[in-house]
Amino acid sequence: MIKAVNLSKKFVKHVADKKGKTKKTEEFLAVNDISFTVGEGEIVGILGPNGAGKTTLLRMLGGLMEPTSGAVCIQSADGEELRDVVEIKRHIGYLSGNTKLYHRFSTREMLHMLGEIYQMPKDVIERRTEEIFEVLSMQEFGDNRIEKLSTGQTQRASIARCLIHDPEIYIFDEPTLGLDIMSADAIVRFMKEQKERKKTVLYSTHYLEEAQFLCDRIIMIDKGRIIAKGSPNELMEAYKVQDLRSAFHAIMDAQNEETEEMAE
Amino acid sequence: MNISAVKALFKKEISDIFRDKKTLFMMIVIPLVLYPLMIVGMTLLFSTIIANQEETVYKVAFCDVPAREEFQRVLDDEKDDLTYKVEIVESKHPEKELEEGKIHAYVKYKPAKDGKEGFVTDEKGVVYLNGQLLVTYYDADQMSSAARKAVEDLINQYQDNLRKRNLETLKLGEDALLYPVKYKTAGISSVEENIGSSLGQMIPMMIIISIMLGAIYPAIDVTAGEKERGTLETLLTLPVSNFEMITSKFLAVSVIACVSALLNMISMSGACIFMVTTLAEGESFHVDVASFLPAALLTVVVMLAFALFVTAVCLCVCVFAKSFKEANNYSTPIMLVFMFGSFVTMVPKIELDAKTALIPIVNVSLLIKKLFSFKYDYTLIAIVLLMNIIYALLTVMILGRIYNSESVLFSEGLGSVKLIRPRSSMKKGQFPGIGDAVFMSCISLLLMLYLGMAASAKMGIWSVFVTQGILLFVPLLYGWYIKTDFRALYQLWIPKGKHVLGCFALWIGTFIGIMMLSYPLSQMRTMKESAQAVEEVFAAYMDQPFWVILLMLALMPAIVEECFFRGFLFGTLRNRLRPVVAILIASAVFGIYHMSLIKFFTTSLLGLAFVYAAYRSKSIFCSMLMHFCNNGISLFVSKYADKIEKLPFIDATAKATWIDFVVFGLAAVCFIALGVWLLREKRDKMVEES
Repeated sequence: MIKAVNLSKKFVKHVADKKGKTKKTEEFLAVNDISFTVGEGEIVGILGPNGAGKTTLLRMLGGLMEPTSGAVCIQSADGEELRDVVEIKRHIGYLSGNTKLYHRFSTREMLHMLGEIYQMPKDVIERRTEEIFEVLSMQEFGDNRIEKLSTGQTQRASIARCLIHDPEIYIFDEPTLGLDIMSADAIVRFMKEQKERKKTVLYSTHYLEEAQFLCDRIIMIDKGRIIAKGSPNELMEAYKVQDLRSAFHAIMDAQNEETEEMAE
Repeated sequence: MNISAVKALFKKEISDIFRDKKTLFMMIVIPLVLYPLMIVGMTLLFSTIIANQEETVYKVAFCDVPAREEFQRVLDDEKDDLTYKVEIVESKHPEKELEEGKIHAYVKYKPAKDGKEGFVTDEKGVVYLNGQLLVTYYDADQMSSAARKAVEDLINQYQDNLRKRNLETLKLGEDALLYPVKYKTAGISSVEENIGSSLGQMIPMMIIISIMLGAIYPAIDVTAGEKERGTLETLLTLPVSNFEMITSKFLAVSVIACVSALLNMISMSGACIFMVTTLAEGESFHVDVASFLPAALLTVVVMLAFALFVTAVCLCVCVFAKSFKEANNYSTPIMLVFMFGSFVTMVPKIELDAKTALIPIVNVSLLIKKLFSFKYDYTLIAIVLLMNIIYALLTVMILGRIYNSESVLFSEGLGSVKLIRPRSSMKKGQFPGIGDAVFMSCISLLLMLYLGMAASAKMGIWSVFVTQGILLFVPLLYGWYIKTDFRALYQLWIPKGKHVLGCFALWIGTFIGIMMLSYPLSQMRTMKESAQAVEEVFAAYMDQPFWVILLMLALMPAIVEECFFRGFLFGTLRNRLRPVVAILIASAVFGIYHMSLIKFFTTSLLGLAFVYAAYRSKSIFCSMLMHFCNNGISLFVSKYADKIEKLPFIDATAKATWIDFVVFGLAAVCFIALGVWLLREKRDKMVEES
C-alpha cells in the first residue's frame, strides 16, 4: 500500500527586475495538495494533460524528488509503516521513459550490481536473476551487453531492473510511450500479473483505452490538483458517456469552464 | 552514511568507468605509452643528431685558398684533435654547387689591398695570412650550418699550429703570452642537483596536466555522462542517499585519478632515468639515480593529495553539465587555470613559503620544484598536504550540496560558463554565471601573482598599479564581453544617508573587534613571523609623503577591491545563491586573497562587514567608504607610529588587561549593533518588495 498525504511540490524561478535591485522569485505549484491511497492488488492510473504534474507526482512517490510539503508513506508486506525515503525506495520498483540502463553492462551484470546496492545476499541475487530471466524469457540475451539489445529486449531488461528486489509497489511513468504493440502489450500483461500477485501498481499514461481496460481506479489531475477520481465505469457514468476518452474530454471541459468563471 | 551501500555504489561506478574505452585510453595509454615515447624518442633523436653531426663528412670547397695543402695535412695528421670530419673538394662554381647541395660550404681567400698575397713572413719571421678567409654557407640548411662549425674547427686548429710556430720563432714562452691570467670555473652543485633543478621546472606541469587528464574524463562520465545516458534517474530510484551517491562517485574518480597519477609518475621516472643515463653515457659524469628517490616518493604523496582536490573540482564543475559536450566545454577553462597555475615553476622569483603554500595548484607546483632541489622543509610539505586535503574536503562539501539540489539534477543545464559563447549571442544586461565568476577570479588572481612579481621586480612600489589594474579591468573586460548591466551588477547606486551612517558605525565596531582579535593572534609564534613580513612590505612605502601612501594603499584598493569582491564576485553570487551563502563565500575569498595566515581571519571578518554593508545598503559606495576608512586609519597609525607613541595619554609599553578587553568588546558590540540596526530593512517594506 502506498499513501500520498497532502503532497505539494513548489518550483521556484528566479527573475530579476529591470533594475536588478531586487530579486523576484516566481513560484508555482506543480503538485498542489494531493492525497490518495493505493492498496494491494490494485492498479491505479494517473491521467492528465501534459504539464499537469503527473511526472512530478510520481517522482515524489518514488522518492526521486523531495516534496515541498506533505509526505509519502508505504506499508510493507509485513505491515510496517515506512516514511524514510531511502527505506521507501527499497519497496518500490520505479520505471519511466527516463530511467535508462547501464548499457556498458549485460543485463545479468547490471542485475547483480543493483542487487548489491539493494544489499541482497549473493545467492538471493543469483536465484532472483534466474527467475526473472525465465519469466521474461531473457536467457538468450541476458549476457549480451545492453547497448547491443533491440528496443523490445531493452524494455524487458528495464522491467527486469524493477523486479530484482521484488518490490511490493510498482510506479510506472508512461511505461508504454513510444513502444510497438508487442512491447506495450508485454508491459500491460506484466502489470496485470502483478495485480494478481497482490502487488500495488500506480502508473501514468496518455493511452485512455489502455487505462480503461487496465485500471481499477483513475485519478485525473490538472494544474497540480486532482480534478476527478473513481473507477473508469464511475467516471463514464458520471458524465454519461460510453468510453473513458469522452469522459476525459468532458472532465477537462468542465474544468476549463470553472477556471473561466473563477477568472470572471 | 551506509558504508556497504557506498561500497556497492563504488563498485558500480568503478566498473562502469572501466568499461569506457575513452577513460582507459586517457588513464593508461597516455601515461604508459605517450610520455615514454615522447621522452625516449626525443632523447634518442637528440643523441643521434649529435652523433650524426660528428660522423658526417662535410664537403667543403677551398677556392684559391693559399696553403691548401697545409689544411689538408691538418686534416690527415691531426684527426683526433678535430670534432668534425671535413673533406676538401674541388669546385668550379662553388655558389651554384652550394645551392644545389653538392657541397656544404666553400672558403674563399680575399687578399689585403697592399698587393702581397697569401701567407707572408714579416721582418721578425712571424708568418700570417695577408687578407682574410671568407667561409660561405647556407644558414637555412642544418647540414650546411654544421659544416660551418666544421670549417671553423679546422681553421682554428691550423691557427693554433701557426701561433705556436710563430711564438717559437720569436723565442717567447707560449703560456705567459697567450694566457697571462689563468682561471678555472667550478660549479659546486652536483650533477644530481643540476638535473633536479631542470626536472623541477618541467615535472610539476606534466604531473598536474596528467592528473587533470586522468580525472576529467571519469568525472564527466559519472556526472554529465550519467545524465546524458539517462541513467541518473535510474540511480535515483535506488535506496541510497544523494550524499552516498556523490561520495561513491568521488571515491571512484579519485581512485582513477590516483592510479593515473601513479602510472604517470612511474612512466615519467622511467623515461627520465633513461634520458639521464643516455645523455650521461656520452659525457664523463655519473648520475646517482637513487638520490632522487626521496623526492620522487614525496612527490607521489603530494600527487595523491592533489588528485583528490582535482577530482573534487572536476566533479563540481561537471555536475552542472547535462551532456558530455557541455561538460567538455566547462573543462576547458579549468584546464587553463590548472596549466596557468603550474607555470609558476618557470617564474624565477616565486618560492614556496607560508604564503604561496596556501594557494591551490601553485603550492603543489612549487613544492615539487622544491623537492627536486633536494630541500625537504617538512613544515611546508605538511602545510601543502593539509591545504590540499582541506580544499578537497571543502569542495566535496560544496559538491554534496550541489548534488542534493533538484534544480541541478533535473535541470536542462545551467550554462554557467558564458565566456565560451560568441559575444553576438549574449543577452543584454545578463548576469555572469557562477562558473564564470570562479574562472575569472582564478584568472585575475593568478595574473596578479605572475605579473605582480614581474612588476615588483621592475617597478618597485609602483607595481601596485599593475596588480590593482588587473583586478579592476579583467572583470570589466569580461562584463563588457557578456554585455552585462554594470550598474546592477556592481550596485552603483547612491546610498541613503541612514545607510552611510550605519556602514560607518558597523565599520567602527568591526575595526575595534578586529584589533582585539589580532592582539592574541599576533602573540603566536608563526603569526609573529607572518606579521613581520607584512611590516617589511609596508616599510617600503613609508618614505613617500602621506598623501601618496593614502592614494595608493587606501583609496585605490578601496575602489578596486570593492569593485572586484563586492561588485563582480558578490554581485554574481547574489544572483545565483541564497544571500547568506553568497555573503559567506565572498568574505572568505576576500580573506584568501590577502594570502597571509595572520590576515585570513581578520580580513575575512572585515570582508564580512563590507559585504553585509553592500548587500543591505544596495550600494557599493558604502563599502568603498568603509574600506577607505579602514586602510586609511591603519596607514596613519603605521606612518606616525613613533609620534603617536609620544603622545601624553598613550602608554605603548602597557600590556592589555582583561578590563580593556571587556570595555573594547562592549564598544565593538554596541557599534556593530548600531550599524546593523541602521542598515536593517523595515519588515513591511521587505514583504512589499518580494
